[in-house]
Amino acid sequence: MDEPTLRVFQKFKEMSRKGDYAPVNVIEDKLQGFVVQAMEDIPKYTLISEYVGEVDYARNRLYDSNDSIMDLLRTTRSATSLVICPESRGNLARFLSGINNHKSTAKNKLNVTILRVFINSNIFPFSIIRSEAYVSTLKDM
Amino acid sequence: MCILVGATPKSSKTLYEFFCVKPKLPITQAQKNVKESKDSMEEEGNSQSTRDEEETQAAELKRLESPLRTKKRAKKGTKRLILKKQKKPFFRLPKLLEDEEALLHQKTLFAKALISKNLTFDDDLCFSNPDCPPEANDASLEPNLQVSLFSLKFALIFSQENG
Repeated sequence: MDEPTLRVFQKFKEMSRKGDYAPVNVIEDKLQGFVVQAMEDIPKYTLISEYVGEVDYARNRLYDSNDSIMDLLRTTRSATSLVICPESRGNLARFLSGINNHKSTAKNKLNVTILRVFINSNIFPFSIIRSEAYVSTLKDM
Repeated sequence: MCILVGATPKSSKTLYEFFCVKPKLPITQAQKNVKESKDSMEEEGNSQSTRDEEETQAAELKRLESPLRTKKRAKKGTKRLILKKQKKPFFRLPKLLEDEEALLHQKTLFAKALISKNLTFDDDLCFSNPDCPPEANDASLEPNLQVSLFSLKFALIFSQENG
């Protein structure tokens, strides 16, 4: 990654701290619960939010029923692998809905991807628009 | 009258030209070529395609024989201008809504969702577990990391500006 990209991440952090996000609304759906819906067309590779929450070792969360757990660090051992659990703290990324992983055709619906960015020897997961999102529900894995 | 009847009505020759015998002159090369071309015109219907092929082959041979790049002498005192394109960042910043009311509505909906899920808004990773310090987020532990390492300079800038 180069300097201009790093500047983009810094600026995005400043924006998201104020609660300024891309034109998306968190709407309650009767079936799925809360979903994130784009209000305008969002171009490709637009940053949506950083995936934040409480960080814990994967070993401690093996039997956790939370459906929003996200990998942060994937070492080969669960004792050193880290996960993010947005249980009591979170932001917009918490409300991004997932797809049905068992269906091969469901991948066509994906329009958001979570990218783990390596900054200063640490990893930060950022959710970005994978393919141009039109006015629709944002879905990640 | 017989002659007139026998003469081809379509020919453009006059009667004078028809009966006069012209003295034979030595044929020059150019005339030869013209003659040959005239002869070939008759057979053109059949041989046109073959001639086209020959022409194309000859042109291709010429092209292959000619050097790819002609050497040009570099002018003295001139320098090459190397224009560096500034790299555009891969990621894009989100464009905020211009309408203030819509922006407020967006924030209220987000706040409502957070409240209903009993969540606290936070924009940084939270290392609340004392057993799991921030140092545990060490990328060197991950063997299959596919991201190139930052230069130390940029990493330092990021850490300084983020406090």
